Amino acid sequence: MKLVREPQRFDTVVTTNMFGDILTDEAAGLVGGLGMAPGLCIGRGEIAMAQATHGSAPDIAGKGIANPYAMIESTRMLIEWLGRRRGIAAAARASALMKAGLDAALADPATRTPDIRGTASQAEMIAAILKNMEDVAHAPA
Amino acid sequence: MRRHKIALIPGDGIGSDVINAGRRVLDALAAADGSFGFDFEAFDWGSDRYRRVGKMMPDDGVDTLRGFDAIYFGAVGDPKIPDHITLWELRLAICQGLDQYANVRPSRLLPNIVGPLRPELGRDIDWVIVRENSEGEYAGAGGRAHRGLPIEVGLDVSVFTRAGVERVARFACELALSRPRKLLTIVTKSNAQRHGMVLWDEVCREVIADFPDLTVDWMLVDAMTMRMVLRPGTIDTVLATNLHADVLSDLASALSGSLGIGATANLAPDRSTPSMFEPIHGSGFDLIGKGIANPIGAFWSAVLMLEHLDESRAAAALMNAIERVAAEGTTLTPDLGGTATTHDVTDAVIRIIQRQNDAVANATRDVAE
Repeated sequence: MKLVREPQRFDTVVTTNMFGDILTDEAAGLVGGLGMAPGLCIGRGEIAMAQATHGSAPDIAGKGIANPYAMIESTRMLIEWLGRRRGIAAAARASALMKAGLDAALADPATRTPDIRGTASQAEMIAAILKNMEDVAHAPA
Repeated sequence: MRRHKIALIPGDGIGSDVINAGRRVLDALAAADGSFGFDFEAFDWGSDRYRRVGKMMPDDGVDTLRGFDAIYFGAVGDPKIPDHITLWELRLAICQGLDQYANVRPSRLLPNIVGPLRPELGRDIDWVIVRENSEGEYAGAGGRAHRGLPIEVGLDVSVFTRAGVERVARFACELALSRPRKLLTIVTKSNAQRHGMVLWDEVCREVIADFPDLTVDWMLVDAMTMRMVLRPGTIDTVLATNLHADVLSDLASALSGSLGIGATANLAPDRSTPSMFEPIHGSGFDLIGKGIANPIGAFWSAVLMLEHLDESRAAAALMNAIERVAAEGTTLTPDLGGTATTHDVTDAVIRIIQRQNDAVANATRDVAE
């Protein structure tokens, strides 16, 4: 209930397996649906697993409209984790670049998928993300 | 004249403010109707009693309540007493002791109430959540071992019984069938919890076979939270376990506006023991003594109680009065953006009840003449 009524109160939340299961779906609903819900599974070990939290969505399979945000953002989180874990400076820069590319694509309805009130196909959204990343990478410092 | 024997348990904090307000409204309804009345008896059970004598209620408290037709409950909770004591020794002791196995919570945006969803989504909220109220994750089974040691362990064991699931599923099917959309969503988590929840699924499947007129769909609890936020209009009656429905009904109250307006019924559907009706808000310790607690939750609980007592005309009159006060918007407590006191809102509701009654009486007299 507090997630809905006072979303600004929260930053990092720690909870149990089951409550996290429920709360992450609720949070996904509040930010636009499962297409907007990335995930990273981390343990003590040297291997983490990036995973979009949405399912296989057979109803939209093959239509080319699945929102790529969750998968790409999961990838970005994985790269960021690698950067921190292994002290790779290039990974931190790559993560920042990906974030800029994603944010710019999300900001324009023409470059985001229909589930988040856009008009783009999945391929168009990915192309926009890549183009934004190139623009940022080549921008004069 | 029909007499209804009601046990009042105001409990803690603002519980007494709102239960007193509810009692005034119930008396006004009875006076306006003339064909029924109430015999109230109040019990001082709660945290103050715990401080005095070490018990939230007397040992024979549950048996005392058996003699009543219904229980009208305020709120429980105290900043200085752990929740597991205030909850288990009063509310849960009553619910479980009287086998009130179905908890029913309606959710709807009342007129003028602004919820957090976009208006076109929010106005589609018209749900009833049925919560299994006697077992499941809150059965109390479990324990702790190796206390204080590095290998300490804590266990909460969920209890699902064929009989327990069957009776609440049947109740939910009947309730869903009584509503226009005849639509029941059964919430589960059998993909991850492979024993009790699978039994839950199996028994629910057997029960719904007896209700061919019902449209039934199934949701995993995590996906259900998202559907409530993104597609509220696709939901009508919901059946879920004790813990799942606990979570979902809190989300439902957030999506339907103020915590101050929600109501819930703990039902013993076969009526062999009394049922209990309560607002969903807590004891509101920050509001004590200010006289501004929102009584609408307690009034809506009274509507549910009147329905259970088969006083459907009075129930409809009270619900109508609540909606009128909300729609007028001039007499609302601060939690709804107004400046009115508990007493003001109660007076406004009673005035509407009396006006409605006069209008009906005049119409009846005109017809007679």
